Amino acid sequence: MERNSRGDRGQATLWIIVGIAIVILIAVLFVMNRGPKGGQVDDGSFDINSYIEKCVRDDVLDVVDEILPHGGFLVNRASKNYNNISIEYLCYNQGFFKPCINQHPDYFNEVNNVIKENIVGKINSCFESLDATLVNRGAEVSGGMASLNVNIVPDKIVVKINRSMNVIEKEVFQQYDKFDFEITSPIYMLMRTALEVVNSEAQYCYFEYVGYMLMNKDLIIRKTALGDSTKIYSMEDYKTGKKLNIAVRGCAIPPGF
Amino acid sequence: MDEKKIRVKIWILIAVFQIFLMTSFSFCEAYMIREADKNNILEVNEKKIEWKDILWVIVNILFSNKNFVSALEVSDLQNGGWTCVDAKDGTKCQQYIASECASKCNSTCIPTASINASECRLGTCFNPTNGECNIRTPKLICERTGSAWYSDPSGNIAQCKRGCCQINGEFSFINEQECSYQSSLLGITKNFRSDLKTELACYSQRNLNLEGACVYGAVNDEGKRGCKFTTQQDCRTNIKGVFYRDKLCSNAALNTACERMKTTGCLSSKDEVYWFDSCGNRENIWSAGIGSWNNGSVLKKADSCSIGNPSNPLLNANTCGNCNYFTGSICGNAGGIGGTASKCIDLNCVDKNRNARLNGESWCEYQGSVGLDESMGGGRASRSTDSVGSRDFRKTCIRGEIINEPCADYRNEICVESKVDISGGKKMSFAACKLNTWQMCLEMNSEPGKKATCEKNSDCFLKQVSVGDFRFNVCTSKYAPGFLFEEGGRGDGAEAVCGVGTQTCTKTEIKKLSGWKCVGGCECTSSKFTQEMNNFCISLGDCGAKANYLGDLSEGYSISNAPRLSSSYLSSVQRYAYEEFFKDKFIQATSIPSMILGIPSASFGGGEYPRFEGASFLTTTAIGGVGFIASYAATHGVGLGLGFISTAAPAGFIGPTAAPMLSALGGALSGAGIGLSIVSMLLSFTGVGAGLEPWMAYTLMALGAAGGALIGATVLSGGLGGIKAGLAACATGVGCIVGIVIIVVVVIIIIIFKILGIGKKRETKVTFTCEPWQAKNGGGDCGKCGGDGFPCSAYACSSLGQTCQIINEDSDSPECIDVAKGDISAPVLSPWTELISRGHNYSSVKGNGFSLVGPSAGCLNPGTQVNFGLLLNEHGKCRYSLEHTNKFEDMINDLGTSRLFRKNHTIIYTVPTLGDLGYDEKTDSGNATMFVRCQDKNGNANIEEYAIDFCIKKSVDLSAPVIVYKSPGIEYLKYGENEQNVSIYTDEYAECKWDYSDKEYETMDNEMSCVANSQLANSNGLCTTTFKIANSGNDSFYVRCKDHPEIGNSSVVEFNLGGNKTLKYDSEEINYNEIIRLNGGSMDNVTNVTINESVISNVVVGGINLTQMRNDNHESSRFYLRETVNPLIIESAYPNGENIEAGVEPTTIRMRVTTLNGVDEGNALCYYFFENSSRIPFEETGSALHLQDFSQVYSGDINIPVECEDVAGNIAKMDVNFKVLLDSDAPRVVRVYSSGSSVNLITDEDARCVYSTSNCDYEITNGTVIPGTDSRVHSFPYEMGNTYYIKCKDRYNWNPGSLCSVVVKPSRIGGA
Repeated sequence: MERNSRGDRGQATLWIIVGIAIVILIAVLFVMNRGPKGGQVDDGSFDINSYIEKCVRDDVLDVVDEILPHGGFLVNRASKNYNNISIEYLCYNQGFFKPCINQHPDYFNEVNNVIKENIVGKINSCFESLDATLVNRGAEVSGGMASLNVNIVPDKIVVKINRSMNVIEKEVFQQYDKFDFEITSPIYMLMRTALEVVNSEAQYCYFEYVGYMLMNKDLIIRKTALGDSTKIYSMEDYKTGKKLNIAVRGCAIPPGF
Repeated sequence: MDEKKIRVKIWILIAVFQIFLMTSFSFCEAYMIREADKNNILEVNEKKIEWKDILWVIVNILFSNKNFVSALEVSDLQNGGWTCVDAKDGTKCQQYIASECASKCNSTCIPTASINASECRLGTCFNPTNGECNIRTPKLICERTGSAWYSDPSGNIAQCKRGCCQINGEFSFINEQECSYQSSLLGITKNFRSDLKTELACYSQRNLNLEGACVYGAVNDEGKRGCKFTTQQDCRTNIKGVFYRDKLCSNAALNTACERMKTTGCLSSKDEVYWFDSCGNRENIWSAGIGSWNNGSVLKKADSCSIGNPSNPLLNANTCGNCNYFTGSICGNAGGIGGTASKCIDLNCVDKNRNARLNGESWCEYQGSVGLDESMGGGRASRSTDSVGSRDFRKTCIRGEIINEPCADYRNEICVESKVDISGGKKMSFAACKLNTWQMCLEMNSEPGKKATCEKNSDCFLKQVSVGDFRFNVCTSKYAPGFLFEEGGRGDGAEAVCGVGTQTCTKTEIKKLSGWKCVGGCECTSSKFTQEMNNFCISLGDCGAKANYLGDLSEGYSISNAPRLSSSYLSSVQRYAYEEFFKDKFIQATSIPSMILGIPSASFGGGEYPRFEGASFLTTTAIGGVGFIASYAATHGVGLGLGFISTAAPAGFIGPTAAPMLSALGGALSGAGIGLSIVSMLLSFTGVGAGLEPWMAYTLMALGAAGGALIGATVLSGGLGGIKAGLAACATGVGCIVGIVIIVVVVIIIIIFKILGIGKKRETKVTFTCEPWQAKNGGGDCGKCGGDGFPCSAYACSSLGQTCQIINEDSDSPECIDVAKGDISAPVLSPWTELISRGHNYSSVKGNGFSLVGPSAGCLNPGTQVNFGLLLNEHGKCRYSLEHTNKFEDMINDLGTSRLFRKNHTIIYTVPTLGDLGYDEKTDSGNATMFVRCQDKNGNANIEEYAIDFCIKKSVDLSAPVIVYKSPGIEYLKYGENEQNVSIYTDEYAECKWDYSDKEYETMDNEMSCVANSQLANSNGLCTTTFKIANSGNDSFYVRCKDHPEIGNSSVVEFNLGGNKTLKYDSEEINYNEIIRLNGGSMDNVTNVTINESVISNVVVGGINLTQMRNDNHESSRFYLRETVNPLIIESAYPNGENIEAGVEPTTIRMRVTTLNGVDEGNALCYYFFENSSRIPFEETGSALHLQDFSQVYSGDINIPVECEDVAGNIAKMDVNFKVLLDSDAPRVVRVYSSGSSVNLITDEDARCVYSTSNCDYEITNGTVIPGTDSRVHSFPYEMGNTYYIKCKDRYNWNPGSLCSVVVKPSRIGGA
C-alpha cells in the first residue's frame, strides 16, 4: 500500500510539473503573440501581409467611422448641420415645391476616393514603418510609394494596394507587388440605401423607409424632418450599429401663403 | 263750339289721361312688383368673392412700390429664375431669382430657368463601370464624373433595370452591371436573373438554395467523419465533400462526428430559432421535444411547429422557435426562458391607446382635431377643426419599437390612414404623410368653372356661409393650413388670406306703422352671422377665434353691429384641441398612390403648385382684379306698366255718337285711373308706400281710384255738353265733391304717414373682420411645448405665446423658450422718416409724438390719403384713438395696415373732414390729434399716449379722379365674343365715359353706370359698362372720368364779381389772376388763394366755394380688347394613336402637345387628368408647346384626357390614346445558313450578336462581335471544326443571359 502510495504521489508530482510546463508554454506563446504590429511568426520572420492588413483595416475602419455621420465625406460640400454634425446633401433643391436634384451622381466612387485619399498617406507610413522594422531586424528592404484602389462592395471594402517591395533577410529574397484585402463593413448596404433614398426622393419627394426596413431586416432607418424642409435620413446597420446620415431637401413647402 | 272741336278736345283730354295713366301706373306696378318680389333684396346680400382680388391684395402687399416690403424686384418678375451650375454653397444646378443669382453663384448664371438650361437638364446618370444609376441628375454634373447621361429623368433605361444577382449564395436586387462589377471585384462567378423583376421575387430565391450535409475528411479514430451543413455549391466547390441533400449532419446514416440537438441559437440571416449539433451546424427549427430533429432530415419551415395564430402570433413562443418576421417575431435572446437562451421575440407594439400594432404597421396620431367637424354634419356647412400649432404624425411599429415621424409642419402635410383586412378578421393600418394641397383649393376660386371641381380634390371643400339671405361659398381646405405671422413676406400673405374672411352684411329695414321692419339681411345682426363668419374665417387657416393645440383660445376677429361669439360657441371651438374629441379618428386615405406617395409623382414634376416663379402670374392677375366685394345686380320692374295701354285705350275711343251714360263711364274709368295714379305716385315718391302693409297701400290706392272715378264720372257726365258743363256739374254734383274729399283725405293720410316717417329705410352694415390668429402675450407657456408627447416644433412653440421661440431646432432636443422673460419695457415709438407721402412731412418730432404737416407745412386736405409710418424699437402692435384714453385696451382702432406684431408700421390714413371731427364745416381749419399706444409681445404698452398732431383744412378737391384698376384685367375675349363687361374703379366717387378715340370728357359718347363704392379699399368709385369691339374692328377704349357727380352737370361756374359784374368760367380754366384783375385788384370774398401742385385751400369766390368744382381727366386711360379670331385647338398630341414599344416596364412617356390659334397664337396652359383628379398642369406649359413626362407607364392601352386653356378662357380638349407594347424578350435567331465561307444569321428583330468558341457561359461584352450590328442580318466567316456559341441582344439589352441564342457547328454534309 505504501509503495502504491508513494507511486501515486510521484505520478501526481509528474502531472503537476507537466501542468506547470503547459501553463508556461501557453504564457510564452501568449507573450510572443503580443509582439510588434503586423504579427510575428515563431520562426522569427515577419508576416508582412498581416502587418499591412492590420494597418489597412484599422485605417479604413477609422475613416469609415469618421465619414459615415457626415454622409460619406470628411469635408462637406453642401451640408446641413444637425445635432452639431454637418451632413452632406445628396439631393438638394433650394427652391420650393420642386423635387430635389441629385448632387452626387457618382456617390460610390466619391466615397471610394474619400476613403482612399484619407488612408493613402497612412498606408505609406505603414509601409515606411514596416521597412524600418525590417531594416532594424537586419533585412535589406527596397520599395516605392504605394498606390491603391478602394472599392465598396456588399459587406466589405476591397482595398487593392500596388507597392513593389523587395526584402532580403537571412539570405532569403522576398518580392511583393500588390496587397489585396477585404475588410468587413456594412457601408455598402448603408450607401446603397442612401442611393435608394435619393432616387426615390428625387422622383416622388418621398421614400417609404418603413417598407424598405421590412425588406431589409438588418437595417434601421430613421427620418427627421427639419424646419427648413430638410430631411435627415439615418441608416443604421442593426448588427454593428454603424450609422450613415444623409440630408435631402426637395419639394420644400413654405409655411403659409 | 262746334262738335268737331269738342271731339278733338275730348280726344286730347283722353290722350292726356292715358299718358298720365301710363306714366303713373308704371310706378304703381313697380311698387307692387317690389312688394311681391323680395328676391331683389336677396340679391343685394349675395356675396361673390373673387379670388383674383385676393391675389391682387397679396401682390399689392408684396410687390407694391409704395414703400411696402418688397420681396422681389420688378425685374425678377420679368426675368424669372436664373440657373447657377456651381453655387457658392456647394450645390449644383440651382435656380435663383435673377437679381440674386450672381451673388450666389461661383460661375456665370445662365439667364433662364434650370429646366431650360441644357447644362442642368435632368436625366439618368449611369456609371458604366460600377453600374450606379442616379435619376434626376443634371447633365453636366453627370458627365463631369465620366458617367453616361440619358435623357430619361426617371431611370427607365435598360441599363438601370434590376434583376436578381446571385454571388456566392447571396442574392441582391441590382442591375446587371452592378452584379458584374461586384462579381469581378470579388472574383466570384455571378448569376444574374433579369426575369426576376421584384425584390421579393429575388429574395425568395434564398429559400430555394439546396442545402444539406456536406461530409468531408478522413475517418477519425472513432470511425466518424467531419460534416458541414451547407449548400450544394459550397460543398462541391469549396469543401470538396460529399453532399447529402436535405440531410442533417447528425443523421445517423452519415456516420459523422456531429451529435444532434446540442444547443439552440439564432442566425443573423434567419428569423427562426434553430437547433445546432455538436459540430456547430444548423439543424432544424427549434421546438421542444425530439420531433423537430425529423430523423436527421431537413424539416421545412412550413412543416415545423406553429408559433401562434393571427390573434396571438406568439402563442407557442415558449415551445416553438418558428419565428416569422412578417407576422411579428424574430429569434432573439430571451434570457434562458423555456430552457433555451434563444426564443422568438415579439416585434409587435402597443400604442398609447393600448391598441396592439403589428410589426410594420403604421398609423396616424394627431396633435389636435383634423378635418371638418363631423358633429356639424361634415358637409359644406361645417368648418375646419385643425388647431393652431398642431401637427400630424405617422407612427410605425418596427422591431417592437414605435417610431414617431412628424409630417411637415404648418399642416403642409396631413397624415392619412387606411385599414386593410388581414387574416383572422383583424385589420392592419397603413399610414402616410401626404401633401395638403390647400393652396390648390384656394386657387379654384379664381374661376367659376374651377370652383365647380373644388370637391374633386379630397383636400378641399366648398365652404358655404348662409345667414338668411346673406350667403356665398368659397373653396377652401378641409385641413386649415398653419400660417407664419412674421413681419413681411409670408406673414403679409397669410394676413391677406385671413382677410378673405372679412365681409360686410347689410341689414335693411323699413319703417312700418308697427315700427321698423327688416326686409333684407335680417340675420346680419344676429349671433348666427358672427358664428357663420367665424366658421368661414377659421376654415381659411390660422385665422379668427380658435384655440391652439393646447386649447388656449385667442380671438382673431372683430365684429361691428352684431354680438360677439358666445362662450358656448368658443367652447365648441376650443374642444378641437382636446383628445377626447378626435381620439381614434383619422383621415381616410383616398387611394393607394396618394397614401404611399403623398401625391401623384407627375403632379409634382411641373411646378403646378404656387411657387416663386408664379409671381408673374400673380402680377398678371392683379391687373385684372375684380372688386373685393362683388357688384350688386338689382334691376327690376321698369317698363311693365306699358301693358296697361291696351286696356285703357278703348275707353277714349268711344266716338261722338256715344250716349252720355257711356261718356260718364269713360270719365269714371279715366278718373279712377288718375286717382289710382296720384295715390301710387305719392306712395312711391314719399317713400311711404314701402312702409305700408300691402293691404293698406291697396286700400289707399283703391280710395284714390274711387275718388278719381267719382270726379271723372261727374265731369264727363255732360257728354257732348263740353268741359265747362262738366266742371259745372262737378261743382254742384255730390259725387264730384265726395270724390275730391276722398282724394284729399288719402293725400292727408299719406302726408301724415310721411311726417311719421313711415317708409323710411335704414341700413345697418355689419362687418366681420377676420384677422390672423395671434398667440397670447408673453411666454408663460413656452415650456409646455413638447410636453404632450409630441416633439416641439417652431410652429407649435410660436402658438404658445408671443415671446416663445424655439432653440436648437436642428437637433434632437429642440426647446421652446421665452425670449422676453422679464421684459417690462413698452415699445418706444418714433416716426418712420423714410415713409411719408409726397408733399408731407414730420415736424416737431419729440419723444412723445410729432406733427404731421401737409404741403408748405400746412394743414392736411380732408379726404386725401396720407401715408406715413411709425418705427418701434421692438415688435409690437398699435392702436389709436382721437380721444384721450387710459390704456391700450381702451383704444378700439387698430393702427396701420397690418394686425401683425411689427417693428415698422405703415399707416394709410384718409384725412377726415372737419365735420367728421365735430368742427363747423365753415371754419377754415381745425386741429386733431391721433393718440397712439403700442403693445409688445409681452403685453407691455406705453402708458403715456404718443401724440400725432395735425390740422385739417376745409375740403378742397382740384384733382381729377384716378382710375385705380379695371376689372377684369384680362383683355382677351373668347372665341365668338366681341364684348366684355368691365368695371372701372376710381379713387373717388366719379362718373366716367368712354369712346373709341381719345376725346375730351364732355364729347365722349358712351356713359358708364357709376356708383359710390366705399367697400373697396382705396377705391371710392365704381363704374360699369360694356366694351364692345367696333364694327370697324377698333378694339381700343378710351376712358375719362369726372368727379363729384353729386354736384350736377354744370361745368361752368358763374362768379359774382360785385356790382352787376358776373364772370363765367369753365371750372377747368379758372385764371385766378384774371379774377383778381377784373375785380379791381381786390376780392372781398376771396381768401387765401393758393395754387401749389394742384392743391388749393379754401377758395371762396362770390359766395361760390371753388372746392365744389368738378374735375375731369385731361388724359384718357386706354384699354384694349383682343378678339379670338380662331378657336384654340390642340394641333398635335404625341403619342396619340401611337403604338409605343418599350424595352422596360414601367417606361417613361414624354407627352408632347402643341396648341394653335386661340387668342394668343396658341400660347396656353395645358393640363391632364389623373383618374378622377382635378386638372394637373403639364410640367412645361404656357407656350404653344407643352411637355409632360409620365414615368410610371405600363404596357397596355392608355387614355389620358388633356385640356388646354388660353388666357382668354378658350378651351381645347383631347383624349390622348396610345398603346404601350413591351418588348422583354431577347432576339431570336430564326434562320442560320452558310454562304461561301460565311455563316449568316437572321434575327427576328434588330440585334447585335457576338460569339465565343468555348461555351455559352461568357459575358456578352466579351464575345467577338458579328458584323451586322443593329440589323436583322448578321454574317461572319467560319472555320471548319469550330463551334460558335452565339448570343444576340436587342436595343433594350435583352439577351439570353447565360444561355446562347444559337449554337452553330459548321460541318460538311456527306463528309465532303
